[in-house]
This record gives sequence, C-alpha cells and structure tokens, in this order.
Amino acid sequence: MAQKSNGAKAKKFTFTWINALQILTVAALLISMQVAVSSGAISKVFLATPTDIVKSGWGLITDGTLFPHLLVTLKEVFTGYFLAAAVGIILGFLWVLFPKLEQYMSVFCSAIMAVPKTAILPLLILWFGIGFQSKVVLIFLFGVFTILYNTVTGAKQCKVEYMKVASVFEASRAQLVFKVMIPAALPSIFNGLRLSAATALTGVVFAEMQSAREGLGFLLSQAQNNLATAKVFFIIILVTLISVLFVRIIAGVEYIFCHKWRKV
Amino acid sequence: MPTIQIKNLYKSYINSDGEPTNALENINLEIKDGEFVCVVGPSGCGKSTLLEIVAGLLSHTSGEVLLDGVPVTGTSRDIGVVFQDPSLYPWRTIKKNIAFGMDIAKIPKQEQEERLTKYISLMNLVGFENKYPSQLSGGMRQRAGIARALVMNPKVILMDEPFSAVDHLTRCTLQDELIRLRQEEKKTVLFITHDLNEAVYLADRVILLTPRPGKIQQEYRIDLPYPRNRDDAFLTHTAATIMTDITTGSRKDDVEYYI
Repeated sequence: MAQKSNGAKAKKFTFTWINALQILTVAALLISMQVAVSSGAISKVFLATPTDIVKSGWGLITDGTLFPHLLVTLKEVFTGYFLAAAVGIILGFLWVLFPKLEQYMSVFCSAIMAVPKTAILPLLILWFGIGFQSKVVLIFLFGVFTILYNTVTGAKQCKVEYMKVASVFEASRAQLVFKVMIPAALPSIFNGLRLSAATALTGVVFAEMQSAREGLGFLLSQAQNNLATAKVFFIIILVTLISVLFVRIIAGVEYIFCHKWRKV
Repeated sequence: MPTIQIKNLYKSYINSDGEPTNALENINLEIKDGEFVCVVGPSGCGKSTLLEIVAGLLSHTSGEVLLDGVPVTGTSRDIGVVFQDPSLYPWRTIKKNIAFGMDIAKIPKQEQEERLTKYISLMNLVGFENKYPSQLSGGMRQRAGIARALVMNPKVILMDEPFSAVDHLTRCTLQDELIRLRQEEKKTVLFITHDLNEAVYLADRVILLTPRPGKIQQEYRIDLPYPRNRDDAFLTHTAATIMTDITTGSRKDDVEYYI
C-alpha cells in the first residue's frame, strides 16, 4: 500500500512526568557521587565528583594538552574509516560483478574477519610501529568486513523484480550495477557504515592505550597510571561523545542521499 | 504475418523433489498484429510462465516462439512488459522511472522529454512526475509501470495481471484507459489475468489454459466493438461459459481419477 508516512512530520516531543523522573534520577546519581566522594565514603581513586570531572576536563583543555591528542585520534579514525569504507564498498561490488572473485576471496576474508582484531595488535605494532600507521590499519580491519559484507548482501538482495525490469530493457552489466544494484543496496551499505562507525573509536582507543605516545587512548592510560580518576572519567565521556557524533554524521549523510524516497 | 507465433511450446522444470514437471504442454497460439489476447486459467496453470517465455525472460524446453517470424532468444526492445507489481525503483521519481528504459537505451534527452510529456499525459500522471513511488497509490504506480513500457514504443506489450493489486474501482478505470490507449496506439497485447470479466471486457480473444500442466483448453472470440458495455449480455454470458468450462474441465479429471 502507499506509504503516506513519508511526508508525515516527526512526532512532537512533549515533556511528561516520566521525563521529569529521568532527569531527577540523573541528578540524584550525580549528587550522590559528589557527596560520596567529597565525604570520603568512597576513595577518590575509585570515583570522581562531577565537579572534579569538569575541573580536570577544563584543565586539559586550557593547558593545551587535550587538543593535539584529540587531533591525532580523529586523524587516525577518519583515515582508517574512510579507507575501510572505500575498500569495502568497491570490493563488495567487484564480488557481485565477478562471482568467481568472491568464490576465491571470501574464504580468506572470513578467516581474517574471524581473528579478534585486538589480538593482532602486537603484530601490527611490530610491522607498522606504535604511531599513526598501526592505528589506521587496525581501524581499517575493524570496519572493512562489516562494510564489505553489508554491501554484498545489499546488492544480492536486490529484488528479483528490479532485475527483471532491467533485463526487459536490456540493461548492460554496468548499467545494472550503477542504475539498479547500487541504489538498491544503499540502505544496506549505510547500515554497514553506521555499524563500523560505532566500532571505529573502540579500536583506536584500545590501540592507543596499549602502545602509543599520543592520542586520547594514550591520555587515558596515562591518567589511569597517575590514578587521576577524574581525568579518566572526562576522557571516557569525551570519547563516547565523539563516537555518538560520528554515527550521527554517517546517519546525516544517509539522510541526504535517501530521505526523499525512504524513511531514514 | 502474425506478430507472435507460439508453436508446440513445452516448458518443464525440475521441481523440489528432483523430478521433472511440465508447466506448459503443447501450446500453439498465433497473435495477429494489433490483436488483444487474454490468457486466463486457474492459479498455477503456467500463465505467467508463458508470458515470461514470450518476453524472453525464461527459456523454454522445446517448441518455438517467433516475433515477426524471428525466434525469441532473449529480451527485446520490441517487447514491452508490465509486471503485476509495477516494480518501480523507489529511488527514482515517477518521471525518472518512466524514463528508465530510455536511459538504458541512451536515447537523447530532448527526445526523452518529448516522449515523457506524451505518455505522462496519456497515462493521466500529470502533476505526479516528481513524486516518488512510495508517495503514490497502487493505481498510480501501475499507470507509471504501463507508461514505462509504452514510452519505448514496443510492437508488443505483455501484461502480467497488471491490475490484480489495485481496488475494484481503480481497476475498472485502468481497464478503460487501457482500451482507449490500445485504440490510439494500435499495439499487440498479450494480457494475463485471472479475472474472467476483465478478460472478456478487454480482449478480442480469450485463451483458457488447463490446470498444471497448462494446455490450451478452449478459445473464445469476443467480436464486439470498443468501447464495450460491462453489462453486455454476450460478455456476461461468455464469462459464465468460461467459468463453467473451468469447473467442468476439472470435474472430468476428478472422474477419471476415481474410476
């Protein structure tokens, strides 16, 4: 049936007593943290007061330590992620176009995909050093398979009817790919892009914590070593925010491409 | 020379138990230039299989399908197909969907525009050009599906239960539009349906297929001028006759089976 919902406006937000309760819960949590730590009931090593978290965060920003590290991490994430996206999507379509290539490659891809990526970090560090390159390779490995397999599934799930229409009009193989399969696979491709955006930051922070001289993960493990728990909290919050923002950006790109013809 | 000739056509395939099954048996059919032929029959009699073979989308086991004397070996731009589910591409606007075949054939933009203007107004789609399929009703979408086939100016149009997914009133409107269109465009039409009233209302000739394997059980000529009256005694009588023939045809089988 016709989906008239396409043009429908988003549900209006109304403030209910449940929302009030949620805010109260968060406030209560923050206050009890504040009280528990400042009264000495819980040691500063295990927990930090919200005010200390803000203070240490402000300190990191104003003394200029945060920004270079943030930049390093972002550069690593974006380089690795975009490499993964480009390779994943292009290879996905090559597989669909040349099934022999998939037959040949898929066993190797499955094998590499099955390896817990964090386990090969020691090797990556041996090969690429503890700097930029090893992190980029790790993020690439974190993301590329998700994007690849989502692209392949999306292109293969292209409705039989869509293909029939294309063959009635005698579309060439290239036309079939570019005019039918890619657009039909877009939702699935974006699914892969969103999923791997969410994991990209996990990979980089972990790698930086293990061995690095810069980056947010490095800053985090340094704070941990110095028992600067407030700083640890601040960096965790920052990393979470970046991760959420990253996924939002991908969703935004998807919206630009697809919102006209389907609900995103 | 007849436009479509189907000679001793057989289609069998291997079913899920690994045994060969006949879908179509010894189909012989000639469709003349400009003729409108409806194929009716119970579900699973191979109506759609027949259409897909003529369209070049499916291969046949033996026999011949000729278009203007030339064997059909694959799809052809001389044959337009309208599917049951119009299968519009959801990422293209209605106009871009209708233009799809012309894009594929690399027809110059200016000519595309001329043809689009003509068929968009012919199919009563003016004002909906820039809408996406999800924003349109089922009837509108099927109109676009028909326009997409017509805009390529094929000699033959094959239609696979094109109106089965729309409501009754829309179906009647679309039927009348199809009759008007067919008179204006003088196309040869092979139309598959399970709606007997639709078949007798539209066609010059109705072909009844038997249940699987599909054989031609009976042919009915409808020599009435267009536009026709839905209540016409001859039409309702013919539809009733076809209905009787469908049921008696299967009753014969039952008797043979039990004795």
